[in-house]
Amino acid sequence: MTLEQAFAGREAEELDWDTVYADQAPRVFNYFRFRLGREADVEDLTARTFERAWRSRAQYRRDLAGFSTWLFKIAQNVRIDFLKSKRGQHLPIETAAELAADGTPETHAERESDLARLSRLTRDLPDRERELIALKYGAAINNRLIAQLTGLSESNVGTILHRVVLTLRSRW
Amino acid sequence: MNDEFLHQIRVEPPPEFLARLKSRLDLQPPPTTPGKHSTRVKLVLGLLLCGGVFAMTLLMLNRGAPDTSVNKAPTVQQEPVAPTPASTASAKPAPVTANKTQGVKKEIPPNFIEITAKSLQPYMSHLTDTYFKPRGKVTKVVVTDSPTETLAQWCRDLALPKTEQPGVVIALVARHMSPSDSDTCVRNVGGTSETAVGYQALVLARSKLYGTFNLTPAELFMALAAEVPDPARPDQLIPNPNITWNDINGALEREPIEIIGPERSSTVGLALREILLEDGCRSVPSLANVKECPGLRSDGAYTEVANPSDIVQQLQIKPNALGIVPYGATQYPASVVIGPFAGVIPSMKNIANGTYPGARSLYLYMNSFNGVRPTTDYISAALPYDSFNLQQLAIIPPERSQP
Repeated sequence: MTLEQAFAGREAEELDWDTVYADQAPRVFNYFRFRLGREADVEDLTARTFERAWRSRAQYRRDLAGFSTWLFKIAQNVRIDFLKSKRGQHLPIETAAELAADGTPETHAERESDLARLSRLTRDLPDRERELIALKYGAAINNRLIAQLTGLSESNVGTILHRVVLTLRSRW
Repeated sequence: MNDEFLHQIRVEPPPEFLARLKSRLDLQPPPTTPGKHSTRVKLVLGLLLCGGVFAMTLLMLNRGAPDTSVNKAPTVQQEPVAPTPASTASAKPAPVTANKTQGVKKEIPPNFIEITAKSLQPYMSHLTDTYFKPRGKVTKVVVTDSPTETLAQWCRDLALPKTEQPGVVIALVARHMSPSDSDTCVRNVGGTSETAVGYQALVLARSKLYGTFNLTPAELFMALAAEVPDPARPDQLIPNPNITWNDINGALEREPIEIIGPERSSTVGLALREILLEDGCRSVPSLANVKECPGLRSDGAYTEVANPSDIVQQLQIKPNALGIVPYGATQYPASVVIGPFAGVIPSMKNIANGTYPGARSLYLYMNSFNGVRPTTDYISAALPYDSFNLQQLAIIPPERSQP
């Protein structure tokens, strides 16, 4: 069952939340990986997002926003809260990479290094561009949803992403 | 657009993480009140209220008028509305039944009074937010100077005359209630309940370049304390004269005593004093019965670091220093090694069975009260996934406490 089928013609209390969870959890998980540029704290933030969403899912209104839009708004807020709480507790990315890579399988280490490389290459980009990358390639959501989440037009999202990906590709 | 390299960075979340999170989410009640329905309810309530006001107005206007059957319409007796438990409850809160006017029974959530030591206050707040607030109202939080005082205060508060509204008094303490505590408390309290809610643990770390050495609690005290017993007259205290480790014990290294740890006034700093310093103090024969043990030294041998996660980083800069850090195996970089304390390597098993002296067990004590007693399993499931924050407080919640 796809997420669209899970939602088709149903009110919040009738939704197949198991399907919703299975579809959205990897997206939210990877969104935080891309945003943080490391593995540490990703599980914590993913869990916080779902716990917050699950607590207030009775208030979710299909007529106001798609579920992904609603969920990723929560994820964005969770990330902002996290950054506020971590102010003054900065851990250098090199330390995080060293900790995370310790004792992990090779394949994981390779992906970790790709993630660390992406983090390094996007460090100087404006926050908006990094958010677009995380939503597009981490959360794997389409440009229309990204536009709703960021307040940009759909064509603007496509243009910015195209430019950023070309830049990243040339430096990869 | 060739963006395959970005797609390839995606990974599947660990299945055990997904399963654990799902089981937590399943503990939450299913959604029952979509916005559309609540709007209808509000509309009906609004109409009822307007009707009530209209009826009252008619009654007032007709007061003094001849007594007719029209004025004898029955009026609705309004019951005070009990506050609703927050929607964040992850399981149905236990209601309390109290007698109300006209013999009608109304369910109201209990009031909670919380007592905890400064060193455990953030954890108490954590438990409050996740477990107690959704089930009632926290009316009072009492912060004591030490966990020992917490238990005494718990007994005292419960011994006070009963307040008008029923209340549950909760204490977060760092040890089992002893038989002597029971004599006083249980007499005042009656039935009590105990719930294990994890551990608080500190470990000794050092750079791999120098390696660790095995200290006893007394030796650590002699290195950390501002004052130590005078070797000539052990019943008197003198400013700590120990400069190198072998000043304390000839078998230890001839390296300067340099200890990096949490700020003394921080939560972890207070835990350091309560767990390591006081325990070491009591193990020195001449100090075993003193009323108050000396505090941390401030002559430069002890360096305070605001953020516990920075301590291990400092150890890489000062490899001969000894670090005192919260227990949390995943946080230590490969360049740092965790040493034994009193010959015991800190592990979850040694912490849980009580053999590691740098840790203490945490318990919630409550007076018995209509089923609000939490179980360890439930507390574990209710706690959110912010292990980083708890680790910063040296807290090991029950979920991660399995040996």
